[in-house]
Amino acid sequence: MIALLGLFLWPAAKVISGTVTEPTNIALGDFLTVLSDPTFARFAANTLRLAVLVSLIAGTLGYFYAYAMYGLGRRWRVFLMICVLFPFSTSLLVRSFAWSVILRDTGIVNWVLLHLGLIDQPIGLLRTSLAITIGMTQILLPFTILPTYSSMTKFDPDLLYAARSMGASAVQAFWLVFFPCTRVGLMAGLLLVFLLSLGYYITPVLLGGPGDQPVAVLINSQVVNQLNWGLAGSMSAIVIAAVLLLLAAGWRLVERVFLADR
Amino acid sequence: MMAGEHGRVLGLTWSERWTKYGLAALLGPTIVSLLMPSLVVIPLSLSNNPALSWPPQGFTLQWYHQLFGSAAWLASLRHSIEVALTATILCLLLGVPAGLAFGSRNWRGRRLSLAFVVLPLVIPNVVLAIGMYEVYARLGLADLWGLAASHFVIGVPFVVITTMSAAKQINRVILLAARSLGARPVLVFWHVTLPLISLGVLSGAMFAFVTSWDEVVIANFLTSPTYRTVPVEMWSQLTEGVDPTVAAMAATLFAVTTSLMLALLFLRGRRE
Repeated sequence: MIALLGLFLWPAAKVISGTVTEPTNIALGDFLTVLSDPTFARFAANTLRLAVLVSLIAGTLGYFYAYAMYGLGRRWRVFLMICVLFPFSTSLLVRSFAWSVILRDTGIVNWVLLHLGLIDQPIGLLRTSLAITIGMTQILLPFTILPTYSSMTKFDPDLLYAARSMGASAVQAFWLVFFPCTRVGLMAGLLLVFLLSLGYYITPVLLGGPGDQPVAVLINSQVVNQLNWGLAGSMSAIVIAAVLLLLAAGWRLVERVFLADR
Repeated sequence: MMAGEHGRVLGLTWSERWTKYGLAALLGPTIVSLLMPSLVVIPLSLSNNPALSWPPQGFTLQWYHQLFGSAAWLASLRHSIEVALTATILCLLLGVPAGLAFGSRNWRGRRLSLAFVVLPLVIPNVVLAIGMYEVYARLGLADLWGLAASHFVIGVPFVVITTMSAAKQINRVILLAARSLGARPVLVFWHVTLPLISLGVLSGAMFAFVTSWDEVVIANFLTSPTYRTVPVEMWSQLTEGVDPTVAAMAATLFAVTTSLMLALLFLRGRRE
């Protein structure tokens, strides 16, 4: 078993070492070039802004959604659960494409708004950072809802009765008892969404404009259009370092919530 | 709206009516936006209008005829199935023993190894793709084997995690009982361990299959023009100019994945 484990770790190691050691053929100077490059800074700022925005929205909506699942009755719970799992039936590529169809000038959203008389002519939604944010939030929302809901199901409702009987108001009971007890799932979901959104490529390309693109797109274009493997390698190394740091910082959370380990 | 068993004590009560409005205002759009992207391609793939605009006009199967009459699409479909099956088998062969090793006992370096296994899930695919492109070219892994190897790397974490959590549920006494009754380790594995973890292995395999089936970014780098998978074909269509055959393909993929998921749910339901 352990021997097989080694056999399996080898390809993964190979791939990761392949990416990390790739910039070895270039001088350390490339890192400095990348870090001082205003283009990279702009794309990096786009990436961070998107990741923060998507995590915040997905976290808020996700907590609320999970709370509704927890608080409502069984039938509603099953319905909401089906709605969360339903998007997994469609690939990321297809869903990004679908959002581009929904948000375009002749798409459903503009059609509905026109028919309601809220607007006179289509508003440009596609090719904006709003479109990327909507698309990515929808794709990543299940990753905050599911762990949050799972930590809510482990909550002992008697604690709330206790809090209420000791004189806490409903709002106090929520913020001082319920929320702190269910925060773990939310935090784990947020970490996952943030990590995943750092690497998004397909959705920004299909939904965003040229000024809204994240680092993943820059890396890709460095390789495909400019054939500049060295710079792409340095950028990749920076992204990997960021991901590793975040993952290491949140590893206990990941172990506890996603791997159910310890 | 039904009052839940916990609804009374939760904040939901402090102003029933406002809570209801708030729920509807936030949950309604969320539910619509969760469901809409999967469903919108279906009416559009049947619409006469080649511009993919809403509302759909008329009814036609011409996009499906075009899709299934196209040699390129059919070849990509075959490639996707080949790659996803090969990758899933690789994931099972190596991921199940690894998952058992993680789930059955504690060994030195276990936490670090587990983190290592999970890593390909969070490293951006673009970054992985660039590394794999170089390394695999040097190893001579191309087309089917290159893709299968790369999809194995991103799919195996699922198999390891689901197998691990299934293996943790096993009561070790059962295994000891089988051993003490004279079953050899191979027999114990085949007749006792494997049936007990089968559901976890199955869900892991399904995740691995779907991951490979849907993957675009790495496939874009590792495929040659003569060996494209469905997502790669779709991506090139999308970036060149869209017509409703893409919507037809999307609707077909939706049907395939949904039936796989329903099959798994059904199996799970029968087991429990």
